[in-house]
Amino acid sequence: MELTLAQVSKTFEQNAAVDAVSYTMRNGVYGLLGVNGAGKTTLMRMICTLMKPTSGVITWNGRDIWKLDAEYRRVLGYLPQEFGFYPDFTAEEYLLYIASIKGLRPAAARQRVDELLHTVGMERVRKKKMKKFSGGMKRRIGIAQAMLNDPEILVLDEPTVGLDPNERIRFRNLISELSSRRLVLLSTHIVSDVESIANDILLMKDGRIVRSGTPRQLVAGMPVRVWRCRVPKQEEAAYAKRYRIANIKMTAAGTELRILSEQPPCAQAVQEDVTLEDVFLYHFGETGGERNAVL
Amino acid sequence: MREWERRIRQYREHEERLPEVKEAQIARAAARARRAFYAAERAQPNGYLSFLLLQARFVRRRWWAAQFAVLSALWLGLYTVQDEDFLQRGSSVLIPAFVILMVPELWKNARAQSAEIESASYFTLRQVYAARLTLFAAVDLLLLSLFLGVTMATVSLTLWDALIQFAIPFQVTCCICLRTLCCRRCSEYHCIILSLIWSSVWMWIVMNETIYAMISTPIWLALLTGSAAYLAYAVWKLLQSANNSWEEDYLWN
Repeated sequence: MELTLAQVSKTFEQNAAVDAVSYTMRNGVYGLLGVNGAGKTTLMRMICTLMKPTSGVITWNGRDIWKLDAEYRRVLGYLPQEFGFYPDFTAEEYLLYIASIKGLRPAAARQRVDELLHTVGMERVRKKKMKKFSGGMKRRIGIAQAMLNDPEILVLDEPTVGLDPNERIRFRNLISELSSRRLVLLSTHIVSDVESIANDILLMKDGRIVRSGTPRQLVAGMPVRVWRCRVPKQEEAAYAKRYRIANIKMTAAGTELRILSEQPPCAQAVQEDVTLEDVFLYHFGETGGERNAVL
Repeated sequence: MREWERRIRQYREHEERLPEVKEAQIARAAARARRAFYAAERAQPNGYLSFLLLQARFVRRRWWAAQFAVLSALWLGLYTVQDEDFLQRGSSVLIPAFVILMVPELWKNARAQSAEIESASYFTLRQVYAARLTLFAAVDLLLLSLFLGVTMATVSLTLWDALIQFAIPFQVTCCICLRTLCCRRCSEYHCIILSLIWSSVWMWIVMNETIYAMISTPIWLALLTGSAAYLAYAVWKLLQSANNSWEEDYLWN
C-alpha cells in the first residue's frame, strides 16, 4: 500500500499552486500542515483525481491513478473542506445515496451505513433531516460518507474547521481509531489537530513541501531555540521587530515573550522546550502567510 | 444398571442436549453465511444498470407528479378549446413549465455543493448526471407519449401541429436548462428566468397570427431538427464538463 507523488505540479495561469512535490505515503496518518493558500487543497484534489497535475505523476502501488481511474476511486474516501450535503435528505438517506455512487451493492450499503452510523454516534438521529444538524454532526456524517467503501486512502481536507473544542477532540480520536489499517492524509492549518495523531507531518508552503518528518523529528530539527523573556511593556515592539514572537503574555511584572532565536534575546532569557507550534511559526511566520497581516 | 439400560440413558441424555447444540450451530452457520454474503457483496462493485435504478430512489417523486399535473392541465385546456386553433397554440406555453420542473433535481448537486464528493467516487458526477438525465428522459417520454396518445384520440390535433407546438418549446427549454447547468456562474434561477423569457417569446410567436402565418413548414422543420441537434450537443457538453469544474478554480488552499 503506497501512494507516491513524483514531481507533481499544478499551475493556474502562471501561478504554481503546487510546485514539484515528491513524497511517498504508506499506512498511518499524514498531517499536511500549511497556511491558507499553501496549495494543500489543490494537492488533495489531485490525489482525489478531481484535478490533473500540470506535470508529474501520482501512483498507487506503482500504477498511475489516472490510468487506474474507477479502480483507484474505489479505494478512496474523501471529505472536502466545503462538505456539501443534501439538506432534505435524512442522515441515512444521504449515506445510502453516497454508498450508491461509491458502487456499493444495496445489501452491503445498508449494512455499512448501519455500522458507520453507530461508529460516528449518529444512530439516534439517522431519520433526521441533515439541515437540522449542528456543524459537528454534519462533519461526523462527512467522515462516515468518506468511510463507506472502507477506503485504503482517506483524504480529509480541513476536517475540523468550524468545530468547537470538544467536537475537535472527539473528531481527532475518531480519525485516530480509523487510521489503523489505512493511509489517512489530513490537511489543516491548526497544529494541535495533527500533533498528537500524525505519524508524519508535511509542512507545505508556496506549493512546496518545505519540511517533513515525525513531530519529534520536526521539533528536533528546529534550527533556532525557544526563549522566555520578561521585558518592560514599552520594549515589546522593539523585540517584535527583531525576533519571531511565538507568544505574548501580559503579567503584572511586565510582558512575557516566547521568542524564537539562535542566541538568548535578553540577559535573563530562559530556554524552553520547542513545540510543533514553534516549528510552524518558524516556517510560516506570525502572519500565517497573509502578506499584509499585522496580527 | 445393566449395560443396555446405561446406553439407552446415555442416548436419551444426548438427545435432550441436541436441540441446544443444534441451535447454537445453526446460529453460527447463519452468522458465517451472513458474513460470507456481505463479503461477496462488498467485493464486487455495482453495475451501471443497477446504479441507474438505484438513483431513481433518490429522485423526489413529487417533481414527476407535478409534471403529470402540468400535462393533465394542458390536455384539459386542449380538450376544452377543441377546434380553436389560436387557443390550442397558446396552451403550448405550459410546456416550458413541464421542463422547468426538472430543474430542482438537475441542480441538486450544484446547489448542495456535493459535486466534489461525487466526482471523487466510483461512479463520478458525469455518471450521476447521465443517470439522472436518463431517468427523467425515460419518465418524461412515458408521460409525453401518454399525453400525446390521449390528446390525439380526444382532441382534433394533427401530429405535425403537435410536434410544432410541443416538441419545439420542449427541446429549446431543455437546451436552456442544460446549458445553464454547464455554466459555472449560473444558478437555477438564471435557468428559470431564461426559460420564462423563452416561454414569453414562444407565446408571442404562437399567439401572433401574422408571425405564425409567416413561418413556413421548412422553417418549422429547421427549428425542430436544429433544437433537437442542439439538445444532443447540450447533453454531451454537460457530461463532458461535469468532472472538470475544479480545473478552472483559481482559488486554492
